[in-house]
Amino acid sequence: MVEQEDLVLIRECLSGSSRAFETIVDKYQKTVFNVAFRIINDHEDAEDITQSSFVKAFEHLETFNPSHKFFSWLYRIVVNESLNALNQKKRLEGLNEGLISKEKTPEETYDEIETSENIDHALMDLTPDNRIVIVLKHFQNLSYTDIGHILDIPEKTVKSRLFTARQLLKSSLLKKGISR
Amino acid sequence: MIEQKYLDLIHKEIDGLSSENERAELRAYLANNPEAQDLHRDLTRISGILNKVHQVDPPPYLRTKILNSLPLSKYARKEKRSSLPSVVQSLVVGVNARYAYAVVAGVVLGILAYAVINRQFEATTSPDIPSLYGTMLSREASENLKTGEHVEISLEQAHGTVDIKYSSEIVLVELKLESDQEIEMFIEFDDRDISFAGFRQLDSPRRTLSIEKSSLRVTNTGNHEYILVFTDLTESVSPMSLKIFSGGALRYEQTVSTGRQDE
Repeated sequence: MVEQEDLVLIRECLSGSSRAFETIVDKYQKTVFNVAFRIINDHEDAEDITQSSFVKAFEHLETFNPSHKFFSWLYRIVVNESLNALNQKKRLEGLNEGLISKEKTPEETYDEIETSENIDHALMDLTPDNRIVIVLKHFQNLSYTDIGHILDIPEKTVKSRLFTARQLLKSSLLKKGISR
Repeated sequence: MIEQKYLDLIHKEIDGLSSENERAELRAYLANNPEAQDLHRDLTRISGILNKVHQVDPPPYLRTKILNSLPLSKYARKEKRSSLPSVVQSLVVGVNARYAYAVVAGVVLGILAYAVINRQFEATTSPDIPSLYGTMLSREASENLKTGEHVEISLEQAHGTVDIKYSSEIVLVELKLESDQEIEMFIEFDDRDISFAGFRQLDSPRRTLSIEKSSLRVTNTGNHEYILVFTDLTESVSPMSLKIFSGGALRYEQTVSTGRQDE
C-alpha cells in the first residue's frame, strides 16, 4: 500500500507536479534526517545531507525502478550522502576526539549509559559500515532484505555486519560503564 | 567459547525471527553455557536500549530549504513561448477536466520592473499581515501613491485586472480575479534582491496565498480582490523567474529582470 502510494506520487512528479514531491518530502523528511543524523552525529550536517538527498532523489527520479521500493532507493541515497559527508569531514578535520567519551567508573550503572549521548558516542565508535546497519535495523526497523537492497549487499552480509556491530557496541558500552 | 550456530540463534531471537523450536534449542544451550548467557543478556539489553531511542525532529525550516532547492522545471512540460513583449507576458491557460490555471506572473513581473521599496519580509507558509499592510497603506496614503501599470486579463477560464500603484517606497499590486474554476498564479523572485512584504485578500479572511522563501502562489476560485506588496532589498537589478503551471505541467517559463524606478 505504501509502495503504491509512493509510485503514484512519483508518476505525478514526473508529470510535472511539484506538489507530488512536496508530499514525498513531508512523508520522508524526518526519517531521512534521522538516518543522516545517526550516521554523522551532527545536526547541521544532517540538515545538509537531508537537503542534498532529496535534491538528488528529485534529480534522478526518472531513473528509479518502480519494481523496487521507493524508500529503499531513497535510503540508499541518504546513506551514500552520509558516507560522503563523513569522508569529507575526516579529510578536513581528522578524527573528532570529542566524540570519544571518557570511560565511566564501575559505580555508574546501566541507567547512566541509557542516555542518548552515550548511545551516540558508542555508535560513533563503530566503523561507518557497522553503524549504518545498526541505524537501519534498530532505528528504522528495516528487514535484513531491505537493508541488503539499500546497501547493495547480500542478506548474509547484512546479518554478519549486524551481529558484529552489536557485539562491538556491547564492548563499547561496556567500556563506558555497563554494570552486570 | 560460544558456537557460531548459537551466536546466530541469539541474534535471530533478538530480531524476533526465531521459531519456537529454535527458541527452545537456544534456551537449552544457554542453560549450560554461562558465557552465552551473559552475551544473550547483554545483547538483549542493548537491543532494547537502541529500539527505544526516539527520533530527532528536523528543524521547522528544513522543509522550505529542501523545496526551494529543487529544480522544479526538470520534469515540467514546456509549451511554445509567447511572442508578447516582455513587459506584459502572455497568459497561458490550460484546461483539464478538473481545474484550470491562469497566471499573470508576467504582468506582475512587469509590474515589479517598476517596483521598489525597502522592507524585510520573513517568509512563512501562511501569511496574514493585516497590520503591516495597514501600516504601509496608511503611511503611503499620505505620500500620494502614483498609478502605474494597468492590465486587463481576458481568458476563457478567467477575467480580471492588475493595477499597480507605487511611491518611492512601496509598490501595491491590486489583483481582481474572476474564475469559475480554481486558478493559480505563481510568482518567483530572488529573495536576496526583492522581498514580498505583505498580502491581503480584501473580501475574505480566508488565506489563499502560499509563500515559500522566494515564490508566491495565489489560488483563486470565484470573484476576489487581492493586494500584494513588494520591497526591494538591494539597489541591483534582480532576475525573476516566471513559471506558469497548468494541469500540473509547466506551460511557460521565462526569466526577466526587475528594475528600480527612481523617484
